[in-house]
Amino acid sequence: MRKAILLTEWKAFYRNNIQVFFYLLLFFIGLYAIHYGYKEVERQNEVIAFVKAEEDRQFENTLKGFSADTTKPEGKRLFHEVAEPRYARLGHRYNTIFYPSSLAGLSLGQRDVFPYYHKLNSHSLYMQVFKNELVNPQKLLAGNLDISFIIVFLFPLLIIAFCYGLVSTEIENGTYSVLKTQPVAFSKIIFLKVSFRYLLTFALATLLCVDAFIYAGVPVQAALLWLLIVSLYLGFWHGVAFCIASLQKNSASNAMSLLALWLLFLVVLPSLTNAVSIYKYPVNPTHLSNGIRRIQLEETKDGLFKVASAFYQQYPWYNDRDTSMENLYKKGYAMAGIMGDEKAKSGVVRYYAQIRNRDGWTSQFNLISPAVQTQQLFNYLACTDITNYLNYHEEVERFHKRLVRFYVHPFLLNRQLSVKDYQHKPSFRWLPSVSYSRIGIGISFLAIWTALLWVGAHFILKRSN
Amino acid sequence: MLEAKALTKNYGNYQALKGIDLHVQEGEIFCLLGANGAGKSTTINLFLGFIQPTSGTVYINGIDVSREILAARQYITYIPENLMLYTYLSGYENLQYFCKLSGKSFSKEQLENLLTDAGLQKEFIHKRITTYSKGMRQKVGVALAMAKQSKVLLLDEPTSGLDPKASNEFSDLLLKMKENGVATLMATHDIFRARETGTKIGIMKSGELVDIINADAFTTKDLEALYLKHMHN
Amino acid sequence: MIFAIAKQEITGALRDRRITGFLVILFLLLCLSVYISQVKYSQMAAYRYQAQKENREKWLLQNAKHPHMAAHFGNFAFKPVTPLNWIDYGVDNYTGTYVYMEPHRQNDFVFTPAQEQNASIRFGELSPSLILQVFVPLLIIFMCFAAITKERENTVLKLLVAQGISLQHLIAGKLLGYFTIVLVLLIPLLAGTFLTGFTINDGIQDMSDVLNRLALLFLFYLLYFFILTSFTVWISAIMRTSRASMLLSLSLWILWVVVIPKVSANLGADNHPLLSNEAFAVAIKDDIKKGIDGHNPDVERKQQLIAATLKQYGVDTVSKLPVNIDGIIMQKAEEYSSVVYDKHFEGVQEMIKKQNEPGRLASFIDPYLAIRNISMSLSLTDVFSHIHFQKAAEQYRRDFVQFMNDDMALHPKSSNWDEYKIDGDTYSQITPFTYQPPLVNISLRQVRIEWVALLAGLLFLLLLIRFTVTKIPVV
Repeated sequence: MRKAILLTEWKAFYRNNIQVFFYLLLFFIGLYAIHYGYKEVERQNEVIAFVKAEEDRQFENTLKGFSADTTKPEGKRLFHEVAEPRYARLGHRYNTIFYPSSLAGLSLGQRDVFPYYHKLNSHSLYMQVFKNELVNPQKLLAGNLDISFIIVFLFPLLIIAFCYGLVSTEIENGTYSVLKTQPVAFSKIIFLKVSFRYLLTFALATLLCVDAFIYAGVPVQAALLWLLIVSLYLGFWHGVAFCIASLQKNSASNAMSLLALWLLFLVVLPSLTNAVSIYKYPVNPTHLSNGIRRIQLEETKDGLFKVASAFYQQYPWYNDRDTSMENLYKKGYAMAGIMGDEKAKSGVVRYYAQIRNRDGWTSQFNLISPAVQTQQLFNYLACTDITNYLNYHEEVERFHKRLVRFYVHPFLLNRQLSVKDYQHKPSFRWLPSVSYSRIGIGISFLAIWTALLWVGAHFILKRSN
Repeated sequence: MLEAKALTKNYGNYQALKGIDLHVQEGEIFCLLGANGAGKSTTINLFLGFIQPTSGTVYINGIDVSREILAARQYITYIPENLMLYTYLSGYENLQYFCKLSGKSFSKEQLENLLTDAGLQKEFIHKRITTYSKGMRQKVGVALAMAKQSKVLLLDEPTSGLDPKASNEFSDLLLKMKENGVATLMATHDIFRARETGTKIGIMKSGELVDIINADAFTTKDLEALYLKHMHN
Repeated sequence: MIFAIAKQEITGALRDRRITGFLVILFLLLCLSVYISQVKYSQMAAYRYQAQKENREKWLLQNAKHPHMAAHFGNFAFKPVTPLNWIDYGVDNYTGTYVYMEPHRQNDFVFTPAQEQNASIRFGELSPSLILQVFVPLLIIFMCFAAITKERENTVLKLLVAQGISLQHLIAGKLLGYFTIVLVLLIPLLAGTFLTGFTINDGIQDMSDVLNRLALLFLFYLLYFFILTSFTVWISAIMRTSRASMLLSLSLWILWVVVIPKVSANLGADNHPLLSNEAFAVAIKDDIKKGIDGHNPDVERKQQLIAATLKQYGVDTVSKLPVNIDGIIMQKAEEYSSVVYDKHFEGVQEMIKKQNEPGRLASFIDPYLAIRNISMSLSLTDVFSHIHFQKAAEQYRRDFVQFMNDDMALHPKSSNWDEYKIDGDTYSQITPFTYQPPLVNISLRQVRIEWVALLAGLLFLLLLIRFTVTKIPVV
């Protein structure tokens, strides 16, 4: 009997041209979204390859300086550029890179908003680290048409289109009374009808996602987790539709109510959350203007001496007691750079703490906002969430410390760099990480939502009969 | 087969049914006559379990409908005034679907035979319901009753709006079912049909069953006179 | 008679608890959004005003130093908040909020608000424009989808037509009725602006310009609502059932608000990709070093300049020059790099324009896109306004750097190139950065396609109603 109901639902689906049209339309938009998402990632990978190649070429060239003929002025210059940390510390630029994960193309998240690579030398970090990619702000406003958007925004609409008449069309077409005289519980029939639609939409989503998984070589575990999120989110929307259908209002008012709920979950609730979070957790980056300013020195003996003594007080082991103008002038900027960053650090830390606090509050609030929650879960899984960017920034700061250690340290100790030193030159190794604890909590909430709705719908339907 | 005991139904202060006792035997067609709002449809809806009685009980084949609705529905086929079926399915597919819902499955041939037995023209069997007239849809309903081997047929003004020929064909079907031992309860306005097909006729007025008569004891004209007399009281 | 129909329609709508409920919710949401936006933008304005002031003080109070060093101390331009920004946030969340201005280079605008928020920012913000552009159309659909179909379904239409009422009058009356209800929703916007809106203005924008913009915003929103109302009523006239009418209207809404904006933006970006920041920087560096045409490297440019200057003053060595050649070289280099920057930034702006082109043209089939762009432009939160500000900041940078270079050139060097120093007196000769936003007619010109599309849409609809009205089925 279950088979008969599902089979009839299948006939009802494929004989309805409009429904099939929407289904196929979503499928093709989905394919485009996969293409688009991975094209974006590819573009970023190309840029990464480009800057990487630049960096490699730079070191390949600069290291030749060690074998240059230092009897000639040109050779001497080349040698100095690599062996003298005074020059090398500014000339050598390293890339820190936030590589896209294999799932990034499915959920681009904040990848287009944040710069994903930084080119740094060992001079003041804050002068260099705040930058932006060239972007079209209107494009950012429109957002990315990736598969996560399709699932979060468009699938609910498909579900609404499939389910708004779940019970009401039976009533409006008059088949309701015939159906109700059958020796099968009406709630069971409706349950099977919802389930059928659920299978249908989930099949479409799975088909699209699996395409993308194969294309991008997504690890099985991540893929399964992704599909679990998809299944719960679609389950949530079918639960909503199930509940509305159970109230047995007419089709027009069902469609309206469902659309109002769509608006509530996808627009009103998130935008309210944003508004409150901005109100409750203000972030003020204007304070950072001091930190990003170019390091300046008063290039007089007095001025340089003042900088040096302040620096040596903090780092006495660098004090070489050479107070000649030449030595102070040579090292002054490096010292001022380090001290400038230290001075600005508290402001930067506060800025990122403000962002983390805001994110913390919003993320908590989003637990009761399933649509945003789902988007967040996708982003966590694809490592395109804001936390990974904040972590990346912290890692960039740590890496910059290593740059300072590699160049400025020998510089201040009046040492040269050797070929051997360069064999251990710093390199940025950091990979984004998936926050499984956040995913676990998010999935639980999503599951609770879904379960409540399905049980609730069943209950309403049982009671009304 | 069909039994109502001291059946009442109140909607707030309004008494739709005021204690009805009714019994329909196997092989009997019981017609309910009465004005709009007399309680005919309410009675049928109570037998169907669509609504719950305020007091009293409804039995189908000895099963209390308000307790075991699904068990009771095994025996029923219901044909409303305007039987609607799934428009995206053919008559054949509709029949197949509803049979399966009742836990019965038939071969293709059997289903086709059922439909032809119910008087549906062969060429329409596999056409979509959208091409069916009202009478043809009613025939699918009858086919369903035959397929389910329903012991009970509940009809709510099944012939209203049918042309005379279709109406006549429908009556013939009912008589055929009656011979197979089906108990039928039919609400109708059509005195002529009630007398022609009915075994017993109950006259309803303001929620009461004011009279129960044997159909063959009256001519149509006498029946009409009796009906009007009841209405005027 | 039209008024009688309108009045009847208004009473009908107001007696429908669902419609009044929706109306009240929308009204409250709108008031809430006005309040929230005001708070947000006044806070932003205060932050930036304060920062601009502080940085100006820092500039004035810096030590006495060589002019070029002073130029390197640099200035900041914080994007000021203008009085109507809060109505429509536009691209504000996705543009940098300030820039560090120094010689030799154009820095990025940094700290975009979207970087301070997690993915929920991509779901949009509760701005008045969101309510007006996205929610109000839904109210209109909700109110009007059955305008004619309900009359047909309960056969009143037959009655009305039999009474001799022309369908044209019927439609006109209904339109008038619905439109009157929608009008109410624009009131909080005006009230909000007049009550508190003008407080966010550090005197940077001309008040009459603000009022002009506000009036235009009001008119364009009216036009948008009118188009949607009449379109929905028209759909309800041609569709057989209310259900079909609603489904069609809602599908169009989804297409307009969700699908087309996204798809057009993505198609545009896909077809005209922007360079990466790094490739961009490399291209600029190359052009400065090798010359824009590739045959005029900076070393040669420098030598030519020295030769020309020597010739101009009729001397044979640099030391005999009455001016500081370094200052002249620096200014010329600055000018050359400016040309290079202009060339490349114009390329980027051109690309952005091309990216946005599909979305603009789609205004002809999507009134939401039209009003979105118009509203952004009039609220000074569109891409054009941002670029306008960027250019103003860049001009300021060039001006103060040139001032410093000229000052340097006029003071010939003695032994050490940085022996000559300037102080607060000279610093204060650089006027503080102020920004004049574009005037309303310039903003309007930016969205010419969009408002033409809206007007064309209106005309098209009126003709449509006029010519199909006789064919509307009565039964």
